Amino acid sequence: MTNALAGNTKERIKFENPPITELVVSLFHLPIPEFKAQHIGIYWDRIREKYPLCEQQGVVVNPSDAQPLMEAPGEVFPLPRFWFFSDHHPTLIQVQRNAFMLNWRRLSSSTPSEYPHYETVIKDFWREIEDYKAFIQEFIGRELDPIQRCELTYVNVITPNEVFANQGQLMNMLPPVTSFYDIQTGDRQFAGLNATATYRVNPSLLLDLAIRSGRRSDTMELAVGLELKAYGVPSDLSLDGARAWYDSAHDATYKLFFDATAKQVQETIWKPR
Amino acid sequence: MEAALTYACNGGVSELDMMFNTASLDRTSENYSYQRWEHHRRNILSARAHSGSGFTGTMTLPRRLFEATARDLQRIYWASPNIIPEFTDSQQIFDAIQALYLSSNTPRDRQIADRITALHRDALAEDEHILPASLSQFTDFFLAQPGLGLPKITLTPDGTLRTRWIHGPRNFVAIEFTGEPLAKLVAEIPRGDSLTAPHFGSEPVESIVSVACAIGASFA
Repeated sequence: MTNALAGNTKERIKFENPPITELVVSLFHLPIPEFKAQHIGIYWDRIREKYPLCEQQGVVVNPSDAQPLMEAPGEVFPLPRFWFFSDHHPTLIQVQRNAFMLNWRRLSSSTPSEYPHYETVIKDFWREIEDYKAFIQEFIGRELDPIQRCELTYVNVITPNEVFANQGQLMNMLPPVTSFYDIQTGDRQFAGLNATATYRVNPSLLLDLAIRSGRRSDTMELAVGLELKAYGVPSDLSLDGARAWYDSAHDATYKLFFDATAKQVQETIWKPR
Repeated sequence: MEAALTYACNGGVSELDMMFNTASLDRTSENYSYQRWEHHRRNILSARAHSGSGFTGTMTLPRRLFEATARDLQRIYWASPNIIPEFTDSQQIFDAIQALYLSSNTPRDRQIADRITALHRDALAEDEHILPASLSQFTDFFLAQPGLGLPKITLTPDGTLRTRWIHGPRNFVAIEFTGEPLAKLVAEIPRGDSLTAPHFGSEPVESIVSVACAIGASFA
């Protein structure tokens, strides 16, 4: 099944009100055991003007990692993941010993941010990772290459609208879930969904479509998370090869988004420009 | 101790306190082992440092939706077979490179990792590839043999990895990692008076070094 709206990916549809809340460009590489806590401070100093805030987070474990490096030799505490960000700028950088990520986030209504689309975010990613790569070379004497995994993740949050007011209308938004409704019975009503489908696009590119329904904890309003995650690695495991990989991943996620969501919603809620 | 560690891995909220409390009790016993306690403390800190989810977003609402699901799945899969996610073709190459790169025999194994990376890229350029079974056997062999020197590593037309320790003209030992239980062993060993003893054979990978050493081969 394909959606006519998607058409040729060279002429992409862009929406006035896309449901996207976050776009994450992630690159996992060989762990750098020599990368210690003290280097984090030096790196932050390079980017602090744009990213004045820093937070520690749990390390993201790559699901395909057969041998994650929990702790480097001589380290008292395991190095966490770091966020570098600003409350006024939608871009956020994440660094951990084996990964570099750049997020575009839709900020709160006090500082609204229009989705700049993949083309702008990927430029930001390459600019920032080139600086990070230079930092790693200068202070640690290492390369980011070979790389383990690239990810391009679109996080969309869908809240109630004209065609989707309750769990029973989820299929109006996401037609592929229809088969779950079909097995309802009089004493068994569809009440939510938590599912991931994986598609193989080519030998170096896989695509996860994840749907999670639930409620906002603050307002108890219905909410559906729709995550499209492209992942894989260029065959030669090189940083240069990752450029073409991300562009292919963008094409694949674009098509899947159109195929997974209802045309009526695309046209009436998100509204093509 | 074991119960505390298991609880920590499941994301319990007070695991570290439990750990320290349990360790305190152990301190009073004759069996108290500081090393054991330190090992568990480090494991718990490591477990705490990981998010337990592959979610890379930062926004609160989707983060709760997706991370809550990851925690639920961990509990569901407690007693089920280990099901690994789909992976891409180059994943095994990277795993081998990473295993060597992070091994305790750092200088030699990092050089081997760099060589495997180069061979993989050269092979791709010629529309060939390293045989996965050969790479796996090769990696396990070197991780288990930290005392061997750095060999010359090449790729055969069949896609298997071949290693050679060359000591001079007509003086070498070579192993070809077939990916089968028996690896190929080829050697030329000087025997004095300008004589050279050639050896060709196949041996189990586990014993191939001792067999080669017994006929006078050197892996320096």
